[in-house]
Amino acid sequence: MTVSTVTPPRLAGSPGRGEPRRRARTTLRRLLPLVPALILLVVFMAGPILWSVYIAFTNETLTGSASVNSRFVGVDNFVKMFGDEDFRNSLLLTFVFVVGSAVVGQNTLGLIIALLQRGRGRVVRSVVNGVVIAAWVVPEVVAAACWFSFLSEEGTLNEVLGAIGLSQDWLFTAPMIAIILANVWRGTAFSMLVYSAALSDVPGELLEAAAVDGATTWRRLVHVTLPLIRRSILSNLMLITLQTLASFGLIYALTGGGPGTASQTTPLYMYEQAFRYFEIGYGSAMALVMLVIGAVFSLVYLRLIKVDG
Amino acid sequence: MRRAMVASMLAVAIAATAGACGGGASQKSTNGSKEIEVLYKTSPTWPYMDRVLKQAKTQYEAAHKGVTIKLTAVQGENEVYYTKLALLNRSADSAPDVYLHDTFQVNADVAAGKLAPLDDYLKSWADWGSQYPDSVKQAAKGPDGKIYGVPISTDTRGLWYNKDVFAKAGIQVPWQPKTWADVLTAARAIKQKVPDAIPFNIYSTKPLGETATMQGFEMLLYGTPGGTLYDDTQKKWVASSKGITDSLSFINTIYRENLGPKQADAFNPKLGDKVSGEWLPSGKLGIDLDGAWTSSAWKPTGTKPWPQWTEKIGWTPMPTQNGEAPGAVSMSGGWVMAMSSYAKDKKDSFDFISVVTNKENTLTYSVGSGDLAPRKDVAADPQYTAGNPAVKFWTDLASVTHYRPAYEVYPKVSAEVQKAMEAMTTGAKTPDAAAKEYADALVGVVGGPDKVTSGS
Amino acid sequence: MTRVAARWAALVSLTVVTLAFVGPFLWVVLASLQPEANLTAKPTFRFSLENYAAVLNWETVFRPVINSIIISGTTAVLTVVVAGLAAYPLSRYKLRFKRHFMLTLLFTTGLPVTAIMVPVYSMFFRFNLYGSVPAMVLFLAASALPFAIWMMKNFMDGVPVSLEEAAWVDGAGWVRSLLRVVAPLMAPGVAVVTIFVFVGQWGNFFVPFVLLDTPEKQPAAVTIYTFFSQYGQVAYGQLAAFSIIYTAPAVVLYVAVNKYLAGSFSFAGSVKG
Repeated sequence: MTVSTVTPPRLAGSPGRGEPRRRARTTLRRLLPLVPALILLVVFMAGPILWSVYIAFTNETLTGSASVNSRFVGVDNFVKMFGDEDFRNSLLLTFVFVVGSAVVGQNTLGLIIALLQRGRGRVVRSVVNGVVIAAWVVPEVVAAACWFSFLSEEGTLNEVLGAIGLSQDWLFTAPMIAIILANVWRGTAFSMLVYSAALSDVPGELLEAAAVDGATTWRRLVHVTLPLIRRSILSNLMLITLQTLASFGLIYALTGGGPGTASQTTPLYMYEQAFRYFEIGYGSAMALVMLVIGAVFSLVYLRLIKVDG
Repeated sequence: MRRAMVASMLAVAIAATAGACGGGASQKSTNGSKEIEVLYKTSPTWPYMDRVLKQAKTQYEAAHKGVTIKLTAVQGENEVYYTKLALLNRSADSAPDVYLHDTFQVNADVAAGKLAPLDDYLKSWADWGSQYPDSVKQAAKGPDGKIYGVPISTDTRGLWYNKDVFAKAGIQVPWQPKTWADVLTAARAIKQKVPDAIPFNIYSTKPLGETATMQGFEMLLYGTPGGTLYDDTQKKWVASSKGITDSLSFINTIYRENLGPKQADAFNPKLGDKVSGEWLPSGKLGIDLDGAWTSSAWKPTGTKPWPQWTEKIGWTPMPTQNGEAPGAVSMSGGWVMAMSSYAKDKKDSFDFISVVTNKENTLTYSVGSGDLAPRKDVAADPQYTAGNPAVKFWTDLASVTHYRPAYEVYPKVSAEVQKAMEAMTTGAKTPDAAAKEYADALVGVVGGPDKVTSGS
Repeated sequence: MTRVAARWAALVSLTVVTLAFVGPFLWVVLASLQPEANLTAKPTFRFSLENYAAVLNWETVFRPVINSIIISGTTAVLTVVVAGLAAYPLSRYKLRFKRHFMLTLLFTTGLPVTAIMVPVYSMFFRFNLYGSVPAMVLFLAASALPFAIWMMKNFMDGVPVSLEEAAWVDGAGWVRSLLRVVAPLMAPGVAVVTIFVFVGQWGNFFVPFVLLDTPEKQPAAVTIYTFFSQYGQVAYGQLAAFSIIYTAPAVVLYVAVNKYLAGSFSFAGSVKG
């Protein structure tokens, strides 16, 4: 739906007939409240997206002669990108990050916490909820500071592990694990809330009936609960995948993508190319690739819930 | 009519936004008074420019009623500053009028038309003719022969070493290495006899940015026979040479034999602060390949006052690879005060530059930062040499120093150098593989195979 | 496994999870109160508020926090008002393209908008919007809108039309019925969406980092990053104190709407367009 719906041109060209015109007016008046939202979405959402399509095919830079005369370079940026070892590395790391953090970490942990909370008292629930949600509410840079202190060489974790001789500089030896852990810590609350809501819709009688039939806890979970909340699982997976895909601030503040390129996911590589090496066109081409990946996920997501519903 | 309404609402929305943003820039000349915006960098361990500019602001505003100097500091290391400056510099509204600029970036900005030539103003500034040596004047000369900045600092590079560590390692001081092999021998001796000290520090990773390229790689490359990044006679970039491979091999040796800092430290963007603020004073580091300014932290006014440094620390030139003439190598860069081509009041802006770079302020800066003085009167001032027995040594290195080929594409070449060095640091590639990769990448970076050559 | 055993197993697991989530917080809280904090969360018996006193000044805390309040506040209010207006016809009338529109919105929710900060910067620069706080707020509001419209419509669907019909009989137009009848009934929903957007922007680092020019305009998210990278290895205690001051408003706001939060996360049944 676009602005054209607000003023269907056909109606403007048919002034003679009173009845449809009045109905059109009613429709228009009813749609009026949508106008501010449409303007914002068209100018500040569709705008940047279209702009990224345009800029990805130019050689725009921040400085040097190409900053004054940027020109169309066709698919040069894309050719360069797929021959760029660091870019391929960044895609791989992004994939590892998304799978490790979103699909495995946040999703599973969120489900487990939601399941464990079923039937617990109010106090237990609010303490657990409170702590998990607090981690979610913490701004990403603060989360990075927390984890930096926790994992760094003189940090809390090493203080504990030092006793058994396992201390090391975790941010250096295991940067991917560090950013995945930190992101799981921050992102689990969302999945937990989704699953808590979904589980509260699972009828207790069904589970009890299954229990009476002798089904173990595990079988009840796999055969009764999970199929019933299937749609929430899909929705949650898609949403957190898309959020994690574009994650920047936490990684930037925690490892800066390093050491070297060891935790440089695509958003960080894009940032480096654009704002450190001043290649705006090249960075935009990467942005476009990320956008397309996001769009594909988003479409799959829509298809899944549509088929399901 | 409705369509017109929608269109006009859209127009209002856009106009409101555009108007609101114009507000920031239009403040510049309200009620007849002028404002000059100055951009520079500062950090907790490098407050020197901040001090000088505040001093210059007071002086200038007292002498020029009706002109306000607006100082905008960027908190962070060089790399952060380059980014912020480039972002601000793109439009007339956000560009600062006057800014501190690293000389190696001047040509790219000249090509982009962002810098204003200063020649017309310099002509009527007596100091320019009398106080700046010709070599210093070249610091910010564009390809068109015009001058785009007044130097506030220059520098040289060489080796610092800790005499206590050397004593423990049984190395005689004063230490005078003649070849790279001498340097490695000393580092190995330290590793063997002083296990709790890092034998040798070289900057070699991307987070260190230009510092790594210049203090690290170029200090090696320009000490190899015929080693250079750019062939001046052919006017081409050197894609491959024995010097490039040998320099990478040297870095590789340092890290493979564990003679360098730990990997985690090598990647710390604040490694320089660790070296001067912690490692050298506490005897945790033997040899440091670094700049003339390193000792500034140890002054009474510095960030890590350490009066004993003059006895505990030694300095010596970085030798050429096998002792080839002239026996030593150094690289020089420096910072200038530059003026934006968008500056509205160019005359006032230049006047401010001339205040920042006057004798008093340059002296404050040089004494504080430990950078070498670009002005003759400052270099001759007793305050400049007071308390720093090393200053003559670093100044004299000018006789063997090299300058970077600061062409428009240099920053990108530098990025490729850093990549190759980083692969040596981590051990991800062999020196030959990294050198080959550099050669391949260079073609794309400098704009085609006809712009590169292979050196000796 | 008996029920009692299962119960205990669940409680023990929950305790472990809770401790794991509390872990990284420990350092911030302890370090902020210790005058000689380092990177380890090791309490000594000397507590003081020195660190807080050291950062509570105009440039470090007050100005950035005020900027954050302005940026997040206007974004949240703008988003909620615009989303509330848009949700009304979507919830109340049969519209031809409604399903398509709702699906498009849902699709947009999925786009990784922060991933396109580079072209967004380029666009802002080209249209002379770089450094403009209002323009950035409009961009933030637009990126929060799809999700906000979704949530608002769901909340509005929960308000019975019959109540409104009474108002219509009295001759009230849609504006009045929206303000007088619908809005009060969906106050909890409005609060959830407002706070959701507000807290989202409160922590947003990337967008202002790229789109704003001078330090005077930067919100706390950016200044705390600068502080972290500049003093993070020196003034640990102050960094921790700054972190707590900056995090507290977000946590307080969430606690305030916690009661209604769970209900907003029910995805089942929300996609029927």
